[in-house]
Amino acid sequence: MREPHPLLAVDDLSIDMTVARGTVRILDGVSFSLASGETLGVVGESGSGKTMTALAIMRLLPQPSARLGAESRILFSGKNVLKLDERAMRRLRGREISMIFQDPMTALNPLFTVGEQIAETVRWHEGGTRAAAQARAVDMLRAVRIPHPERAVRSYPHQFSGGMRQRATIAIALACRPKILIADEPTTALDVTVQAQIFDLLEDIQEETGTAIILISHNLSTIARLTRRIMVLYGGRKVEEGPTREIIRNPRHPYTEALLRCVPGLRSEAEHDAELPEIPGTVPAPEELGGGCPFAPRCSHAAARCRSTMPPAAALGEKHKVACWLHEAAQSAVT
Amino acid sequence: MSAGKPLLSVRALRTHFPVSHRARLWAKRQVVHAVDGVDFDIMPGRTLGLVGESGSGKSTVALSILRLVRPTAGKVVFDGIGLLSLPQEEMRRLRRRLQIIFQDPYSSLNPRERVGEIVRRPLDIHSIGSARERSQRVDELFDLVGLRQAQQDLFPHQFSGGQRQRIAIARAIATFPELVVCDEPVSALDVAIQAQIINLLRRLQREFGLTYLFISHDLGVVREMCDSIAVMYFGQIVEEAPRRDLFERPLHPYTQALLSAVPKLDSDDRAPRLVLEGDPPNPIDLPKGCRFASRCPMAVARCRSEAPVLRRFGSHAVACHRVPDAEVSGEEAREFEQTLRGLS
Repeated sequence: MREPHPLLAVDDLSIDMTVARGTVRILDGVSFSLASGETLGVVGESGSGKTMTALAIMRLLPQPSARLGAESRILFSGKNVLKLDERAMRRLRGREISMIFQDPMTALNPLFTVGEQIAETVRWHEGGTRAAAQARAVDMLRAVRIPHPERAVRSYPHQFSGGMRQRATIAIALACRPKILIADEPTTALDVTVQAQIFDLLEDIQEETGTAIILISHNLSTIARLTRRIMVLYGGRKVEEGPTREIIRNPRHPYTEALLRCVPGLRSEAEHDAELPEIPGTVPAPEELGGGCPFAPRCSHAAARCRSTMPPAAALGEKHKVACWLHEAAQSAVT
Repeated sequence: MSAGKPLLSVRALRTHFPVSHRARLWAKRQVVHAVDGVDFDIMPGRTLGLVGESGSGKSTVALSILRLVRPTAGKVVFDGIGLLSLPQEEMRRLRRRLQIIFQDPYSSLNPRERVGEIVRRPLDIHSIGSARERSQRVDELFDLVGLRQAQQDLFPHQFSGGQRQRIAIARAIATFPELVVCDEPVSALDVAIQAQIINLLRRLQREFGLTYLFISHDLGVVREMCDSIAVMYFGQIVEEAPRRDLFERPLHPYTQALLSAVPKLDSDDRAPRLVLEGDPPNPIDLPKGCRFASRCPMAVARCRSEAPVLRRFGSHAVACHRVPDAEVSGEEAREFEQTLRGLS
């Protein structure tokens, strides 16, 4: 490790979930780190474990059905978040690490004005007077480019459009200047032009405040512009990680490659009449996973070994890692 | 492609909704202009894309055509039959030829019905075939959409989102319809599943000569699916063109903005984008000029005072004062495009 501590280090994170038929492992040995001011993209389909990873960092996993693996550690500035008591955790959430969700309507309380919801967060973490918190609420709404912030603080969520609501949840999340913002599919429910505005906003805010962002999406192309580094999850495993540009131009895991090829609308007119490349089948349910590579049942390169043994991570260059037997030669380089 | 008659023609379609509350007791009842003068044709076996953001009225167009909401005015002609004046009973019988697939495969399937029953229901309603033939047809439909026949006894919650959309598609094509309205059929799905459903819809179209009205806010999906595309903004079509033209030479500033907002894969592509500022107009109290003027980077005084009409240049139509009147392939048009590029 070059720095004393990265801002966030997730180490060997595993989650077991109790379901009707017993216990299944929904996340298996995922490790990654996040530096201050960095934007990390997390890509995966429903069921890949991306949201569970985020909830684990926030310590918001469904209880008591989810259990963390014994080796799992989540270090925030060197402190293991998983060892904190609930009181300390409450001080951390919203102040040091914040999260925004896909659906801004369910994330906001319909009975309180937007201003009250921002002010509540500020007063909870920092105390101060009602008036000061209210003033901060106006500042935050201005910061997320909501027109007429003095008037907007007194509005209720239903008076806002979808894009404005997502801006309001961003304002709440950033009110206490957290060091990390986790955004779980923040624009999936929004129109493309609004999506572009929200991404521009996140980019500007990051430039101004240096907040590190973890951006989660099922679509690599939507988050490519905003991130410098991307981690691809499949079936609860990290299958590839590397600089965004390299992942996009030269994906090395067959899953990443397939995921990039199937994005609609990126092909030329000449290819239009051919079928859109697709990934056959569906994401396996956690209980269907054996000991092998989770992608093996859908992978065109799969061999017997892929089905029996999970490939370890291989390093391809300094920052690019892939977990696939196709890259076995490079595997010895990584532990 | 002037040969043949369109399967569906929509003319001057208007659907207005009264607002339930009044500002004052004696105030005039206000009206939302959800669809406000829409015209288009779809040729048999082709796909027309209807693109726009939420609130543009694209779904209301779909519902109006199928008479699932009552249009205020206009004409909808399907295979020579005027749908809006058709008696209830005849419209009901005609529905076997016009079907719809909705966005949300969770709420559009009855959770208490087995999926085999769901797919069979349209055959029962329209009394198509004998009991045995209906069962055979359901088996065949499950094969067609890539589900196993043994899955007919399961309930919707036992399927993933993509599989549920396959069930909705099987139900929609059960009665051999000619026109299928697809209202955001892949928007609720993961991108990897979107590709599967797009391919399925295209395959079914090839095999059965289906005609689609395809509604989406996602230009990437529309590009894969459609032969021509109409862009809607606040209840009106602002541009319509064959797919290639629209993507390679968009003329309306709004279409330009939509296209430039589509995320590009290559992160190196930091090309400046045309990001819309300003707020969309109030759908109750619409401006008298162009509805896009408040957000348009090219707007001039005339745009705020006079509403532009849809002008046709061959197969390309656009409603914008700033697009020169000359043939769009002409010199002036190229200049106009350059101005737009300069702005973006």
